[in-house]
Amino acid sequence: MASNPELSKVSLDQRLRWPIVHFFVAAAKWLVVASLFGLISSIQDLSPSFLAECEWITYGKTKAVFMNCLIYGWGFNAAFGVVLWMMARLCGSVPCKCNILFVGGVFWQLGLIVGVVGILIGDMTSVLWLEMPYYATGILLASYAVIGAWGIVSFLHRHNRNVYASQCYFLGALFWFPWLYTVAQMMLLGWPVRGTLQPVINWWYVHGVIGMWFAPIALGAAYYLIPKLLGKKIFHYNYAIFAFWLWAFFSSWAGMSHLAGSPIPAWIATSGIVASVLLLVPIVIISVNLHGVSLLSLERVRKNPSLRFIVFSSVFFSILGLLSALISLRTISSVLRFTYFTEGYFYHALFGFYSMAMFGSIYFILPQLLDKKWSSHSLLGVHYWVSGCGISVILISLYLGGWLQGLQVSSLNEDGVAAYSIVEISGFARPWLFLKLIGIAAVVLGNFVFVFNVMSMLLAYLGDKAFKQFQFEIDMEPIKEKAARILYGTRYDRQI
Amino acid sequence: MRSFNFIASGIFIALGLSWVGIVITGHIQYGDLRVMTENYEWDEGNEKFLKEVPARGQERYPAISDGRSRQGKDVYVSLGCTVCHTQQVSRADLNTDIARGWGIRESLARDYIRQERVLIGSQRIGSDLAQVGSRLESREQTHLLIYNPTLLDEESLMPPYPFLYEKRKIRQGVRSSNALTFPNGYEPEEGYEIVPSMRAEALVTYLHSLKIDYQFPEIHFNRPIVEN
Repeated sequence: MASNPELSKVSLDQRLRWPIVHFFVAAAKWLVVASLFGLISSIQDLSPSFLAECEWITYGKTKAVFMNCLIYGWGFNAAFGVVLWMMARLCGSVPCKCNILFVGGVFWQLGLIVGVVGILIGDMTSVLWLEMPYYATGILLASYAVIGAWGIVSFLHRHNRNVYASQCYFLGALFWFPWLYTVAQMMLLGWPVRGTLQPVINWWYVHGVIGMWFAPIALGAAYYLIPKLLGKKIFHYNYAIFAFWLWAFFSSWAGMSHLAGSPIPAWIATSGIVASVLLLVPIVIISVNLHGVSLLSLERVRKNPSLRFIVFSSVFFSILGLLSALISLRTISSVLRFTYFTEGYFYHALFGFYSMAMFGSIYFILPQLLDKKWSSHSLLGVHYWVSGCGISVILISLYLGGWLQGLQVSSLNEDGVAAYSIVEISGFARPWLFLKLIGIAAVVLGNFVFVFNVMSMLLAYLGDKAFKQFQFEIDMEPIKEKAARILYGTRYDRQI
Repeated sequence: MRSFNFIASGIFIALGLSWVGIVITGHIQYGDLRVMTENYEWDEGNEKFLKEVPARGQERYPAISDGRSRQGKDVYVSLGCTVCHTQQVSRADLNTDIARGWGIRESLARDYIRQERVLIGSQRIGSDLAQVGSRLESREQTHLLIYNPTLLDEESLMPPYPFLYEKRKIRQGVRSSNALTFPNGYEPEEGYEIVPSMRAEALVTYLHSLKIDYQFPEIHFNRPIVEN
């Protein structure tokens, strides 16, 4: 298996430097785009006529572009960078020329641009999280094949015989996403299945992307970084692999619980509810694993700029798991169905859990790749606090607002008539939507601080490099010699 | 545990199980639901179904949608209406959909089998549209609703879609036949009229085509069906 020699960390970082940095830069760019569209759509939540004259940015489109940029732009690019780097580190090797990653990466961005523009010009599809038109998906899938295969091949070339839990999670994610994506594309958009099987497959995909792509990557990063940065062993590590398998087998079913009450066979929804509750077992194991070490040394967590993001994300993971088991129950889901709660659930998974883990990982990886230190830890702290508070505000507003909305929708007065009209209910939701806008604005501010941090480190690195080159090229020695000749004349030669 | 083959096959089985379990089994179970050629009337008094074969024998339930409403559906999808509007009526004991008058009965899987894109939606900021055609008053009103929802309801949270309408000069003092008539105080300036575009007409046709006024036997399981 050892076809190429084990590489030291430094040479790994040198070979991976630009491919990985390029993924991070792309992720940062898409994060900016997603932030702008998120702001627009949150303003449109409150005042529907905002920018309504412009056909390109109706509410439905801004929201779709926001989610697609957040998921495929920021989420996937960050995931590629983090997974490939951690995979190479854990395996101690790179399989081949790293430059192939540029090809995959560039085409991924190209496909995204095509897809986002497609949504804006009106070729949007009706499928949740797959709104990008069909002509973009081929590009995305082909470029994913290059990137994903690279990660899997680097596992095959590993030097360390021992397989870590992180590697299992990464490997699983790399295999699962293309399957989910192809099946969803083919059975929903290519050759659509009949009737309400479409929403079944749609939720299978949506929950699959959360549970079998984003979650394994964030968890794998947490399993890698928490013990590394704390210098301690994971608490009860031998159960971690068990949790991985349980997670793999249950989380792919869990999405069906969102369909309880829809016109589909009841057993499909029931299987989702059972799976969501069974998922509590791996969630408890993973929580014990991760929190067992980190919560015992909170002082060190607080001081480490990247570790606190990771710990934040793993705490939000535990909350998310408990919450999804709770809201899958039929009595609760009949109230919360179709409310702002579902939207909050997505923000929880995508931002509170996944993105925070990625921020932490990038704050750890980037200094290693560029061999520099963060110039100021205070800006990293600003990012942490602003984003953390922002996402908490979003979740409070959408969860409470959604809960109240659900109660208002399902309440009947004595005559058996609905107590509040839909327009009244959306009026009641306005304060919560305003709170959400504040939260989104804070998160967007945090995102900009993140982009600033990444870019300033990159520019500082490039500046250093340029400066060194400059120093090297203008060699002062001949000039000094000439000056000495002029000054001292022949005496100079005699001195030598 | 250390071999790639073991991990990879476990990974494949994990997702494969759910794929076979949900997607394939679901497809086998109800992927071949048929359209009905009979209508079923629910007889309240006797708690029986009355099976009614239409005289012409040509009716199909659910009906296939015509070309114009398919165009309208494309407009509906491309503007992202699904973000706020669902198209599924819940059971009466599950939610207040039927009490709100959003439909005469809950939606059934068979209602969707002739739709190429099933838009059951996931979030309800606006009302449910599964059977909206039964409760819309007139095309004129629907046009006003799409042009500017606040004309009909001050508090409405629906965004306006003015770009689907064309504002143009009234030629030779004769209004176009399809120009919108506005409530007092909201008319466009003197000498102008607001005319729906082709897309607006298609969208309105689509919304009006969303009607369910027939029954399926599966709505009351285990109840006898009486043939007339």
